[in-house]
Amino acid sequence: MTGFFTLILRPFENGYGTAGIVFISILTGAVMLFLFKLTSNQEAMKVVKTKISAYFLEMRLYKEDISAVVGSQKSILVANMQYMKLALIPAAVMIVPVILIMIQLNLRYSQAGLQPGDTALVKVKVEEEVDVIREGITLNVGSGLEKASPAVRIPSLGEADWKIRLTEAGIHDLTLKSASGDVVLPVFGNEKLVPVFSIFKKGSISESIFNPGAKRIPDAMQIASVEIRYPSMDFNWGLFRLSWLWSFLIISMAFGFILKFIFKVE
Amino acid sequence: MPQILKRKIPSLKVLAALAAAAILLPSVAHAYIGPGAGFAFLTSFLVLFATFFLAFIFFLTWPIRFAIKKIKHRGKGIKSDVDRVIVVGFDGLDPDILEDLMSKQKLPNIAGLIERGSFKRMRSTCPPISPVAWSSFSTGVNPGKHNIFDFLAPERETYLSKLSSADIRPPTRWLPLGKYRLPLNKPSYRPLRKSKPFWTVLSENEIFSSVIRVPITFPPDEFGGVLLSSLCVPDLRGTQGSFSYFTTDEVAIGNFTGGFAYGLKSRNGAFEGEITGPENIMVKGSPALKLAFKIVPDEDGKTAGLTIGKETVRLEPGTHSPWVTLEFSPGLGIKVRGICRFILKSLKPHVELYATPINIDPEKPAMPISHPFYYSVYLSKLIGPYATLGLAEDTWALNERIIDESQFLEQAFLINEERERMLFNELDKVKKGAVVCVFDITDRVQHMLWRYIDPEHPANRDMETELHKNAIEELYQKADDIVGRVLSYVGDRTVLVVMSDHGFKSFRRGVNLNSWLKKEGYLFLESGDEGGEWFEGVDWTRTKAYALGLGGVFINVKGRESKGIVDPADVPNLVMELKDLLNGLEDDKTGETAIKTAYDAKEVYSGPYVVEGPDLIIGYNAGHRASWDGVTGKVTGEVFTDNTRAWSGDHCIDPECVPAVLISNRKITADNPSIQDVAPSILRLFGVGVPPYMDGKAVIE
Repeated sequence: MTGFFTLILRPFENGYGTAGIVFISILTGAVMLFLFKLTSNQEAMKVVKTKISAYFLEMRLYKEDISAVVGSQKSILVANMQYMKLALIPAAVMIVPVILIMIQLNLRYSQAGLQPGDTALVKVKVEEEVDVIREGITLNVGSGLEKASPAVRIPSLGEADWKIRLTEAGIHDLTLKSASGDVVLPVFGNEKLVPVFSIFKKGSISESIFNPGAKRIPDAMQIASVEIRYPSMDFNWGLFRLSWLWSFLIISMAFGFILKFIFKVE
Repeated sequence: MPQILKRKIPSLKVLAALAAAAILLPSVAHAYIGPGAGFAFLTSFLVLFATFFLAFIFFLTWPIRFAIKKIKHRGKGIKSDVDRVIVVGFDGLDPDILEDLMSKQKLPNIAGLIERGSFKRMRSTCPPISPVAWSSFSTGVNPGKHNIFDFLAPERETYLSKLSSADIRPPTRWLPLGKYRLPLNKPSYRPLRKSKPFWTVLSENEIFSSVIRVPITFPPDEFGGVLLSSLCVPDLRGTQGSFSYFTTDEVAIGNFTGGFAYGLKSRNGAFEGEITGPENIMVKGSPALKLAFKIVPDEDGKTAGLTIGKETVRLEPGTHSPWVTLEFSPGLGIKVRGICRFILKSLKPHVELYATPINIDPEKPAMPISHPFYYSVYLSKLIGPYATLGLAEDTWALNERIIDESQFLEQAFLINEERERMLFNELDKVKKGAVVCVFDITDRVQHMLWRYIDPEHPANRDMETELHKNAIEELYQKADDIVGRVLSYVGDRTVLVVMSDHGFKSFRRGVNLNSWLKKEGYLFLESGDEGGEWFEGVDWTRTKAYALGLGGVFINVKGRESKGIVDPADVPNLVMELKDLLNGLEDDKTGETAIKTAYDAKEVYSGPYVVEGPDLIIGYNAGHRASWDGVTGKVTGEVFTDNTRAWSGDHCIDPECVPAVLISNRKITADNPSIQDVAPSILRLFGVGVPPYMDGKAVIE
């Protein structure tokens, strides 16, 4: 999945993040709409929608009669429930690809890589009941990075924190050494829009879904997670700036709405 | 590819993890499930919001509207013990047949209603024709006041006929735009029925009415209620109903009365044709709009697929398809929509396809067919597409033997089902006010299948006479069933009126009055013994009288008709002379009395529009009626002819021969009520004063 997204977003890697989010939103809108058409009972949805509009007209036609109006409102609510019920099955089916897509977009567009001179917080959490002092965790940075602050160890939280600074663009290594083992993790300081992995954990099913392609912490190590806090990224739309999520929601919904008429989707 | 993706992951765990994802992802993403389902839930939310908002507005404003209503009608003193009046009209329900079937205990619901209330034979109008009679029903006045004397009225300038009830004219101002022209004003739809229907009077007293398919309500009246138009609503082509017949048999291609035949082209195992739609008034010359279709026979050789535009319907042999939407494109992105049903008549040796007249699509009506205009849209959304044509049952197709009796009955009952759903929907909605619904099926089926109950009928010659022998009896039982269902809506404060506009009799022999007038020296042809339709070949410089429509004779009056020769002062004497000759006229072949009474219009009508009607109204005796040729102004060599058409029953005869039916759960006080009495009766039941111009009297207590 990550490879596939890397492939289709490659043309937008070099500073065309906005175009990339527009492209992927339109594509997602079209695919999701098509999937919705395939997985939903369009005929039944059309019937229910038509009935709902009939009941609205009914409220207008018999507006002088309270019982008729109340009856129409009741009919609208019942039909609306039927409509929602009809939308539930396709929604359940579509939630899977939608989440997978959003995970991929989150990797690429939620955080920006560091720029030379930027600092980032590195937070290392040890496993429960492991003493962070005894574990003796140390951080070594390779070329292109430097430590911006000494280690701060908080035993009550099982946490050790450092501040690092990017000195040179590119993907650089950061090595964590502890009593239970070593791990080398990437720090993203490149200008390209590639997946920015900010959280590293041990291998698990949920990790493989939510953080696909991220380097794993060896199982033997007593470290539970490592987080590198990158600056958040948003998109400039002229008059306002929006996060990738809102941009994606709005664009995909807007194009979905247009395509709805072309694809004749209820 | 990342290493993690190469691992084998148990699918259940993956699904469980994905399900958990909805909870774990950021809050905005929780709601996001793609545009399709997203729109579905968004729409649901908007619907809920709109419903509650409208409910809020409704309940907030209701006391204000109620107070305004009370203040507005202060002092009018409307007091009534009736909440609702339900009028169920069965066009052509005959009292003789009704009594016969009741005596055989075959109509339990109607018999039960009569036992609780009353039943009277009711006087119809002169002539007892649906447009005339239903107009008197709705207005409470005689034809001299409502201006409807027949289906057709003469155009005095040209001697051609025009529709008596509505005047439809295209836009008059245009903006040229290349090959197109854009209308700058709207088409005009002018009702020709005068006077005021009782639902308008009720509306003026803030009483709501639902009026469904009462004849002569096109264009629809504007009043405080809902109305769906009926008789005289045209089809999309602007005619009163033209069917289409498509065939590969070139011999059968031509024109029929009430329809057209078209060729089908064979191509790669499929058959292609074009449906002719309305004239494209946006293009100079107004060429007819066409819609291509394709019939692809299935492998079984019996069924086929019919593709029109993007829609494909399955056609079963000999039976009606569902309604199919036809979308014509006159240009500039404008669409005109109609609906029709198809019957696949045969695939071998010739492909034959019947299409009903193209009804105006009620969901997107091309002209006003309801009040308010969105009432037809509402009904269409609620019950699906339905017949909108005035004379929706295709009697001409059966007359021309394009469809058979079974198919005609199927069509009539399909339309009746739609009507029933409309009526019972209104009964569910309208708890206070008038609900009026007219069922046409009783009229149409008796017209077309009467020969089955009349063994001596000329139309039975060489025809099958057994298959539908019980059709009329079953029809009355259907009416009884409807009455039974309506009775479940009738409480102490509801008055139910079950009625018809006229009865029915056999139509065995036709009388061509124009031929008779020629024979007697009142009408002359320019040459020869026979003329054409619409008085083709008539010498107006010598003609003193002519007959047009189902019961009218007109004097060719100087100053009124464009080529009139009879001095207005001589008209009364000429009318008297013709009346004497026509009264008791005998059929020269059978010896039967063909004409019972010829009525002087001045004696039977009163009011400002008497001058618009015929000078004489012919009351044919039972068994006779105006001949098919005579109705359209064609002079033939014979005065009396056998009627061999499927249209074998009729009522356009002397009103005394075809009384109507009036039944109510309340007492009917008059022994011999008239159809004009129904409107005043309904007004009085609601406590509304009967306007003095009404000719009828309140007869239901």
